Amino acid sequence: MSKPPRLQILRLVTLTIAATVLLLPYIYMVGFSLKPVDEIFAGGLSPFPREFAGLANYAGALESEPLLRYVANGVIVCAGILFFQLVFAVPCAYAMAKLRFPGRAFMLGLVLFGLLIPIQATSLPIYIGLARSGLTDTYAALIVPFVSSVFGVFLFYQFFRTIPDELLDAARLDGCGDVTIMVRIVLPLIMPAATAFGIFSVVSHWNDLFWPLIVIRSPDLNTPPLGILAFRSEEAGDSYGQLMAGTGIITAPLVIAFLLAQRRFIEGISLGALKG
Amino acid sequence: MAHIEIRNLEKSFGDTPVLRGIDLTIERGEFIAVLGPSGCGKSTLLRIVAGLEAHDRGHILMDGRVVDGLAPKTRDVAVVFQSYALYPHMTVAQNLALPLVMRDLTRAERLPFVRYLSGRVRRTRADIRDGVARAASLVKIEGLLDRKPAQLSGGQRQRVALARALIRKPSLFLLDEPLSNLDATLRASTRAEIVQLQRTLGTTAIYVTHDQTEAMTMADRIAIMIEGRIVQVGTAREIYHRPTDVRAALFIGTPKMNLFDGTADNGAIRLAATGAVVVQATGARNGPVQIGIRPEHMVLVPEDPGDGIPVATTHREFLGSEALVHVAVGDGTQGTPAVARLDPDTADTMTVGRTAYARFRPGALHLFDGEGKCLDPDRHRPLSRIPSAFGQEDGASDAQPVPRIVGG
Repeated sequence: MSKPPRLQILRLVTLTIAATVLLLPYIYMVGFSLKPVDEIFAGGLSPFPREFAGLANYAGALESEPLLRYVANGVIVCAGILFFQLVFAVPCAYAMAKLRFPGRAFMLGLVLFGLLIPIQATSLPIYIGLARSGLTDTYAALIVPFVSSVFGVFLFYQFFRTIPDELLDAARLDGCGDVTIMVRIVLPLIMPAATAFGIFSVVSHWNDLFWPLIVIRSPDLNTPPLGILAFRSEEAGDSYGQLMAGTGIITAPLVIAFLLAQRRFIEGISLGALKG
Repeated sequence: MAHIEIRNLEKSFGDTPVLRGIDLTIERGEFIAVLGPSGCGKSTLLRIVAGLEAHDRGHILMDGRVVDGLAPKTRDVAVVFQSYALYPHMTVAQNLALPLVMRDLTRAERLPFVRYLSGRVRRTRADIRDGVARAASLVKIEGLLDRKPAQLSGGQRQRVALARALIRKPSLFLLDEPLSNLDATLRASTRAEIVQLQRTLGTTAIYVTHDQTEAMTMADRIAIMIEGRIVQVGTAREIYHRPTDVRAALFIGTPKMNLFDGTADNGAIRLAATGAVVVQATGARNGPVQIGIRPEHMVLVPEDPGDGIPVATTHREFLGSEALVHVAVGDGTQGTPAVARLDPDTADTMTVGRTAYARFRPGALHLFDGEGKCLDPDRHRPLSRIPSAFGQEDGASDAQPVPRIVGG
């Protein structure tokens, strides 16, 4: 608080401008979703509707496409992916950070190498594999390719390294077995990292268009971005208000989730939770 | 309260031997310090005794029972770590309660809501709360029970760590440099508190440190550990006055013991730098020896008394009640460095840059053979008459028994 006020103001102004630029599309999306069609086409920069048509737009959007179904699909897929990612990444990272075994450095190298490979590079073999096993056009096709996250392993590895060995030794002396150590000591400590990772994972898979587009054919399994795509192509034309309302509905869960978890998210990225 | 016996313990990390055959017996209720430079294996020894690390060879016995390979929790030991290792997400009360919760409640009984179903669990939980309160009052942290470790000062954390170790009333305390993260004032007062606590509880304790002051002031006995071996075990006095190994001699005492190269020649011990015979040690095998003398036993005079060894005065330090005079023995200022502890007035008569004359109190000399072992440390025969070049300094040293000079 001892910063000179002029610097404070400068900082505030800069941040406000940056935030506005980033938020502008979102603000217009919300604005358009509240306007009637003729007002959208009439132009004008104000995001605030002169004539309120929000109710009609949102109702229309929900009616013309099973948007809630798409949102539910998104929740199922993202929760499935996150669950398995945590199940695999946390023990793997724990082993690499805290246990000594031959080949540890080599495995860590593989993890780092894995970070460099984009999904597009491996999509063809994975698709063929899924197709051969008859899994395309199922939830499994959306979840299975992402259950092992090298990014997750790396993030948790970094975080586990900040947990001192003496802490785990102390727990062992206090009578805790491995399971108890995991539940009582390690899991509470990695919550910030897990939250941060959860947000990264959910955001990227919620917004993923590439993979669902490849493996999903039936509209019932549409994920939120596919839903918007379907909405746009079917309702193409003048129902921009409804389109924007649909987009709003589909992005809302993410925004809410982020707002709820934002403090832990920031703790998780800065990895400072164990200081002191 | 446990009786600990460590027999021929060996441990290597890969190709690096860390413990090379440790033998150590610790009596019931004894407070023993394992003192050594960093990297000597003392923390590894502690971790092996705690059961956190496996050893390669040898045995550990607690009350006559071999505990090799037993898990830490079954050994009934408690450790105070250097970093305190408090659980950062738990309050002080929860930190203290965890060892009792783990010991007194089964896995099912530990589940969160069981206390509402079972009267027994409720009573145990109440006992645990009492235990926490008692332990907290022992180390005077009653007011901090609701805080998280991050909200505590270093000294307070240290107390919480102590309380967590003693709450279970273990039969053995292991302390791994518990004071090294405290500032000097706090360290001095905590030293006394830990000793009092250990006396009150009567628990056997092993205290690992690299700080000779801590070891000397706190422990009943000190085990000096160097390069994976225990070179001497004894009380602070024994080790200070009768070191059996040159490394133990150098490790205890500030400033360090002065050490000069010398030779044994038919019982006459000569200083290599000047060729002067400093003492007769009948029976010492001919060959190189090391001649040690504590700074307070080295007498300096400004004028040659006729039998002194000329030394070059290089530096003088005034410390209030005493003064240290640094000299070089033999070969001008390039000679073997040595320190004499004098009273400040005597030190004032010495001028830096000029020659002074040293006399060694013969009764206070320590002789070590080529391997650094004390020449027959157990024999307390007074020296045969001091060679003519060296008169007795004063009556006081006459009265002292003359230790360990005579080789066999």
